[in-house]
Amino acid sequence: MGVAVAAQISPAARVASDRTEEDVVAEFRQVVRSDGTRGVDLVGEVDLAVSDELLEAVRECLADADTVALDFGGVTFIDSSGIGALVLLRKEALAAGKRLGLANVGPATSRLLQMTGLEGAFDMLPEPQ
Amino acid sequence: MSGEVTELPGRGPAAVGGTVAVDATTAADGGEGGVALEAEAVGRERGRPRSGRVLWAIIALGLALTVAGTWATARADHNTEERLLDVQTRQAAAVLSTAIVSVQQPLAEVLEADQVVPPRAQPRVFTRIMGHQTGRDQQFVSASLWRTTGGTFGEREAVGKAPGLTPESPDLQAFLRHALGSDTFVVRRVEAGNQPRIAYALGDPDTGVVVYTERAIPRDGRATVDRNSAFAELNYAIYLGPTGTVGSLTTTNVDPATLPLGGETSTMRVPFGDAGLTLVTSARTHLGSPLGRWLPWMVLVAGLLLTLVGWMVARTLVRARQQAEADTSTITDLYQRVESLYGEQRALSLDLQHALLPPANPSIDGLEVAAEYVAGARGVDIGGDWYSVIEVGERHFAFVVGDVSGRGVDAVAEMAHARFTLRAYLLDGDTPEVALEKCSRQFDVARDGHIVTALVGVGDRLTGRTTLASAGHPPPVLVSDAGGGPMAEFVQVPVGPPLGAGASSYSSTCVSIPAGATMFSYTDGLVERRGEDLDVGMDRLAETVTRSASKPMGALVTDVLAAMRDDEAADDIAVLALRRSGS
Repeated sequence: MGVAVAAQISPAARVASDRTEEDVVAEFRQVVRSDGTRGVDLVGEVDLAVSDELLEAVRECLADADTVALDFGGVTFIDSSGIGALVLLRKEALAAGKRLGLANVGPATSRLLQMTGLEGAFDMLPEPQ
Repeated sequence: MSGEVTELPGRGPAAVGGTVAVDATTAADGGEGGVALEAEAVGRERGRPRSGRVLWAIIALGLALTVAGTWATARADHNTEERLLDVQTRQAAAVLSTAIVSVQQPLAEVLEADQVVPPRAQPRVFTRIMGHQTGRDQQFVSASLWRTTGGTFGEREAVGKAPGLTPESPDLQAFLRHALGSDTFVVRRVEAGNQPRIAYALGDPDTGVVVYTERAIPRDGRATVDRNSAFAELNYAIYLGPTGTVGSLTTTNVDPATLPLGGETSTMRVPFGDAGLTLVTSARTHLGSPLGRWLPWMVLVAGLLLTLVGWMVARTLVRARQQAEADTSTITDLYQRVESLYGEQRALSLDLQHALLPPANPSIDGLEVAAEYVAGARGVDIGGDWYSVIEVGERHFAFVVGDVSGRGVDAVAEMAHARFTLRAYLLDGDTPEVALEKCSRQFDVARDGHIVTALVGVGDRLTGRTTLASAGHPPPVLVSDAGGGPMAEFVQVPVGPPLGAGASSYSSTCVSIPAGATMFSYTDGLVERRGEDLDVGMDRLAETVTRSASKPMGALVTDVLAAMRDDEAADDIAVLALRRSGS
């Protein structure tokens, strides 16, 4: 049930990104964690170009699970658009009475969450035993 | 002056970086696209008529091959027919020659006998030989024996009917004379009443004896000889003498009125006395195999069908190709339209951004201000970064640096919403934390699609005491010189959640800006780089600001942007530097 979503880049964005090798590609895989909870593995750069895919993947997961864990283990970069998507997902989860937690949050993401005043807004889930 | 709003300039050149980037992108891509499109257009121009020519060529080639094949097979069949007709005619001539021998035989017999019997016995020998060959249903209708005496021929004996040439006529005399002087028997046509006959005469010059016979020709010239298998497949006409004129016709198996024979004929001379016979034939039916006869038609029909099929296949292929070309052209056109729309959208967003940014240099007593907005280098959409500085009351000023997540016109609109909402509260005299708290109730990421970070400060321009609050925004750098050279430090502003995350309360901190010190605020685009820790970027900022702290404000901002900006960075940057005038 793994859903891999490559970043969809508009023609114009593709033109712009043709100039560099680092084409923005991120992947969001829906997974079942070892403790049975549902989760989405985030891999790559979570920015504006992929925020819609992130929203879609997590919403799908939230639709049939009470608790969803976002695994940040594979995130190499996240910007304010990525943070915006997380804030939106958190609001939607709360409104639906569900729980959205973050796991494997690295120092860079942690620093960004701290700087944007969102340090305490998300549950930090421990790695399941 | 209270309540009068003064805001900062958006310096024109600030946007130049972004604009140039757009132009470069458009030019590079437009160039390629233009070339590709041109090539495509040329291909189309040539393609259509070429396709038409290909179709015509296929038809022409198909028809040419069909005609050539039909002609060749027809020619081959014709040659075969000619050859077969010649073969059959030779066979018929052989049969005819055999028949002639049977005519000549009795005459020669009589002359041979005459040489060995006494003259008075000759008539009796003649009668015995010719008698049973002359009469009804026999070879001859009339036969007679003549002897010349003194240049005139007298009849010695006769059987059968009277000859068609009267005995005393000069014609007969001449004919007999001619026979006597001839190596072989002589032949001529005679008329006995309505009955055409062929007269034969064979003479012996030693004895002066001539045997004369007449043979009947059917009145209509139709002969019974065609029952012979050699003639079965032929129409033929046999003429006496070397020419095939009607008057010399002896026998034929067709209606004499239809002579001469039409179509392909074969002519053969057969020795017959002194006159000879001319045998003219034509094929009654197709002599060769039926396949030979039908092959040209089969080739013709098959060739036409193949040409038609080839043309249809080619037409289908040509149409498919034209369709593909049309599709390519449509896609190219759409791509270009999308490109141009993106260009327009970016230009529109830039215009909007600059229209919303502060229009003129502020003049706030005791405060130097410099600011800059730089559009991201990549992508077409403009971001929602902004800055603003306003005067509040007699001695206070307020400033905001903010950042709307996402890009495009709606991000710019969201920026305007945040900026004017905050300004309204600040003008009203609200503290930074209260202004943010009120704002937080009016923004919702679920509805707007964006979160907004903002650093808000309210300061006293006389004392330099400044209150700061932050909604998810990076902290400002304060550069001051306490005697040991410029020192930069990040102001520890308590951070609350971004606007849009839900209603929140915020705390503030107070900091004093000494005279001559500079407070440098910015959006995250300045310090954020992919693959680099955020703190590295912030340390670089502190360093750069410290190094340029003594420069005039405009130069300071320029230095910082030059040092910090990543040419490849996608994000927008807004920076705002405030310096309290020196003591």
